[in-house]
Amino acid sequence: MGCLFTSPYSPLYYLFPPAKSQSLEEQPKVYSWDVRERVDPKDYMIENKQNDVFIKLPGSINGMQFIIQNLENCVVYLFDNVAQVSIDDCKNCKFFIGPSKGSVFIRDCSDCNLATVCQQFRTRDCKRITTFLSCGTQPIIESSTSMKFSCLTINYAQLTEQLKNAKISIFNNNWNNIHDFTPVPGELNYSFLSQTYQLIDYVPLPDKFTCNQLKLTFSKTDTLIPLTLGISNRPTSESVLVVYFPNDSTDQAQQNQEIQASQLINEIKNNYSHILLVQAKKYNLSELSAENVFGTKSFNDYLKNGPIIGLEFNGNDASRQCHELVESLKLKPVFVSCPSSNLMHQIDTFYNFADMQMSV
Amino acid sequence: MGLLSLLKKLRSNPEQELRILLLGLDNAGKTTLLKSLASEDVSHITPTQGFNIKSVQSEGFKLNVWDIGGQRKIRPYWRNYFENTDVLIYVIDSADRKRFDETGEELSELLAEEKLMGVPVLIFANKQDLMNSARASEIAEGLNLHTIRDRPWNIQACSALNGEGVKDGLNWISKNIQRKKK
Ligand SMILES: Nc1nc2c(ncn2[C@@H]2O[C@H](COP(=O)(O)OP(=O)(O)O)[C@@H](O)[C@H]2O)c(=O)[nH]1
Ligand SMILES: [Mg+2]
Repeated sequence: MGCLFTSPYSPLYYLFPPAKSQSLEEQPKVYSWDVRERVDPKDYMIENKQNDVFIKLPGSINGMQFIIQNLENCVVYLFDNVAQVSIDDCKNCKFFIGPSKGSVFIRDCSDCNLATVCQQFRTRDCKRITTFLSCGTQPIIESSTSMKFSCLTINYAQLTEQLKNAKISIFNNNWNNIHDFTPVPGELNYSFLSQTYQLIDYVPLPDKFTCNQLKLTFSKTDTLIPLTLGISNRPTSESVLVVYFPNDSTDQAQQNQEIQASQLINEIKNNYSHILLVQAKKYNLSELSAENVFGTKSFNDYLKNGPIIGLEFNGNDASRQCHELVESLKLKPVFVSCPSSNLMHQIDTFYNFADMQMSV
Repeated sequence: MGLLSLLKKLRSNPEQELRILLLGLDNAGKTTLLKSLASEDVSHITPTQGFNIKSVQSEGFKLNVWDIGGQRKIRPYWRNYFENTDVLIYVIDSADRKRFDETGEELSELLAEEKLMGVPVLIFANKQDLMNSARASEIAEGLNLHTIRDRPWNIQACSALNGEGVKDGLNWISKNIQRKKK
């Protein structure tokens, strides 16, 4: 295409035809999308259906974009990687959307239940949508009412690999931090589900055969994505912050760091049911910020190795139990906060730096 | 641009500083484009609540790029950023066909704005890597771009995610701005 001076559509083109050298320069370039294999969009779309169930198994979407529109009383499961998903004009439907490298965008839908793990979550013009969410950035809603959110709990055989493909970390879930573009004074367009509910109350498991094939579970105990309470929901006044650092800059070190964080979460889940995970964060911390959070320079050497993983636990005796566990697991390098009047400020600072680093 | 004002501009900005306004619907990929221009990681981008600014060096120009949130609710605030714009970049999610009408309407409104009169416009037909994306030529036709007569314009296919096509858009800007000098 061209500008006013060179566009063949422009009347000026005929008065000032481009010089020869220029037209050579502007010869059409070949981009990857000009030469890629064409696919049938219908294979990546579910539309205009009623009272039906659709299951896409691992390997059937392979990280392509997926489109869902105009469904009523349907259940849709996408157990695969997607590039981005739009869900438009659906009523009374239930969805599971597998790891999305880009956004999951819901528009003009009502009375739907949804479970998804994605990089971005967005809604517009929706009513009564309940979402079990794992989202790498802050979820946003616009012109949407009676929206409910909860933490996604799920596992299946291919999930770890799919999360990796989508560049999503299970240690960075912002389901509890919603931004509303259209707040209404005196009303709340969104709320959080009580912890007494679970995913299965809102989205049914698929048929037995599929469940077995995928080793699928929605349970809170077997979930791969850590169940978090959210910072608006601390049950007691006793919190503890545990931060893991990568030992060096290798992939192996980052893997170890994740294993250690998972181990601690599982030990606590299995042995101390009264201590709960409030929130997990994985992000790059600068040296200056680190000094601010930890009150010491002694962790600065690890920061250049990669992102840190921070876990906040809450419950009576959380601090002592975490110190003991971390000691006995011999996991290093790690920081565990000490009880002090300054602790909540320290934890807030830790989250604030995470938010700052997430914004541009 | 008249010769006098041009000279003034050149004198006050010896290294040619350009103010670029980045607009488009929410989810079009504006912030991803901004970060890709600045060669930053584009894998974890939060939806924009207000605006972001970055300065980027390109082809002897210093680009001051303003990326403004695109939600319907905050589009009325776009006008607060119109003043002194040298180039408008308008970003479209080429794979979101449901919103082609909406994005076309917003673009026409922008082109009718007095404060943006004559400002060159570069349209990025973004997300070309996605399977449902419309080609730049299809979008140009759908949006009737050929009826734009009052300013230089260009539509460039790109993927802000993998960077393809972005540089070609910038090239158009630099050529176009140089043309202003003559
Ligand atoms: N596949 C693909 N996704 C993109 C591209 N550009 C942006 N995205 C994704 O689209 C979503 C919206 O991008 P963002 O930059 O936040 O859009 P904005 O609202 O216009 O600022 C994010 O999930 C991005 O990762 C692209 O060229 N290709
Ligand atoms: Mg943005």
